[in-house]
Amino acid sequence: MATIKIPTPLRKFTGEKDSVEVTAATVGEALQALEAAHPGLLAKIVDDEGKIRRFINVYAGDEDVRFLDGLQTPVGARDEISIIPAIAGGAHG
Amino acid sequence: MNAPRDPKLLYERYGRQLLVDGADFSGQQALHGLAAVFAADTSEVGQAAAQVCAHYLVGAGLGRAVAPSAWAARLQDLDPQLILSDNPRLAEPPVAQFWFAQRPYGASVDVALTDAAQAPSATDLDTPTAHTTAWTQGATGPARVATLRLVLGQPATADAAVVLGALAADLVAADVLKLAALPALVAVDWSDPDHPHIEKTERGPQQSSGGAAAAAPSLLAELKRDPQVLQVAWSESCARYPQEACGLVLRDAAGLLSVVAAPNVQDRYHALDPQAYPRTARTAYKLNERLIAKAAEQGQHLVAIWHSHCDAGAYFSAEDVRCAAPNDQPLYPEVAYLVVSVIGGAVAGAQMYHWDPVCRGFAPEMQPN
Repeated sequence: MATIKIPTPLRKFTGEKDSVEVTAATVGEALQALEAAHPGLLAKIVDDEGKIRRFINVYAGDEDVRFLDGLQTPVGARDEISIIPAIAGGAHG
Repeated sequence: MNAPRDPKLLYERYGRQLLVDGADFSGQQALHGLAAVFAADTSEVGQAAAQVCAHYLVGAGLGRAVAPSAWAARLQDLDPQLILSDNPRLAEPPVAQFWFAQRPYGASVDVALTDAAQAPSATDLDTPTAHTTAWTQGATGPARVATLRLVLGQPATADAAVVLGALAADLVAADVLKLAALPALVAVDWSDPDHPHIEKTERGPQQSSGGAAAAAPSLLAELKRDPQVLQVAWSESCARYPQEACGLVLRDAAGLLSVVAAPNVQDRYHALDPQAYPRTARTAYKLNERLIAKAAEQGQHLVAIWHSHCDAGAYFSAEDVRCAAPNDQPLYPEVAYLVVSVIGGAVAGAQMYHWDPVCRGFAPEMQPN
């Protein structure tokens, strides 16, 4: 089973659990399984078009899935998926 | 303490306040025995509000004031017998400490008021933050200690400075004159400029003043104790110029702080999706958030995120706010943000910002004036 690491701001959806184990072949399936177990979470991670939200990052291992196959990124049984709020910003408004 | 003045002279000068129910002569003497430290950031509204506050309190019979020497002539004109200093170390208790600042959501003043029994140390008086914190933390004893944050919403104009300075002075004077206890938190709704509505939240004196910037010890001051620690951020910021640098501030189990640099991966995201990430590393930063988990595995706890602004000030920009708290929801509410200003390739300044849960905005840490 793959493990999904849940960030602190979203743990209210998981009963304060910091990780959830799911059975899935892709990152997208893993997030759907997460939603099935903890309703309301998925909308915080992806927008209405099914794209990962701008200020949320989904990592498969150490890589942002945006640089892999997105939600189609395959996951193995021992893989770790991390949902992490973005750290970003910049000068000039 | 300065020598007491002739009570009759005091009465003649400040007798108008004794007409107020409850403000008796002992209250007026208490105000005369008080020292007030007026400090502000460099903003126009902060400086103006601090001066208004000083004028009000000196006019009301304040005995001792610590204020910039540039204000001396006007204050001495209000009261030639005022004992005036520009050195906070000379402010023997009882003391009221004022810290006025412009903030992203308007203007504010933090006030700490203590009795002689709860005197801060001379070292505490060097920094308004430590000053307030020392009183807050020392508030477990029987002596009365009060802290206040007075917040004025937008806009931070000259009018706002007058209102803020006068309100802060009135609240402290009322407390010292035994008219009303200093509340812990006051927020002013500026939506009706002619009639600012004051929302008051009462708290016990044992609690902090609520705002993270007011209650927390200065993280930047703590970092500055060891120049080698911050040097990491300074060096990286200069080396990456004219691109923004970034990294993390971590604390280990022993409480020691360290600063680490992280690759700015903004250009990688910009190349992948320029529509979603229109900025390059010239005006934006993004770091690999997995670094936080890796640090945690090594017993390092994230306390701040730092980044540089190239040829721009160490302000918390609208882009910084948008990314750190999209939809007004902070992504890392317990984490501070350090912004380093790099002008022409050299570090020109730095400022630490904390999420303020009361005002729902990022507020700069208070620093020595």
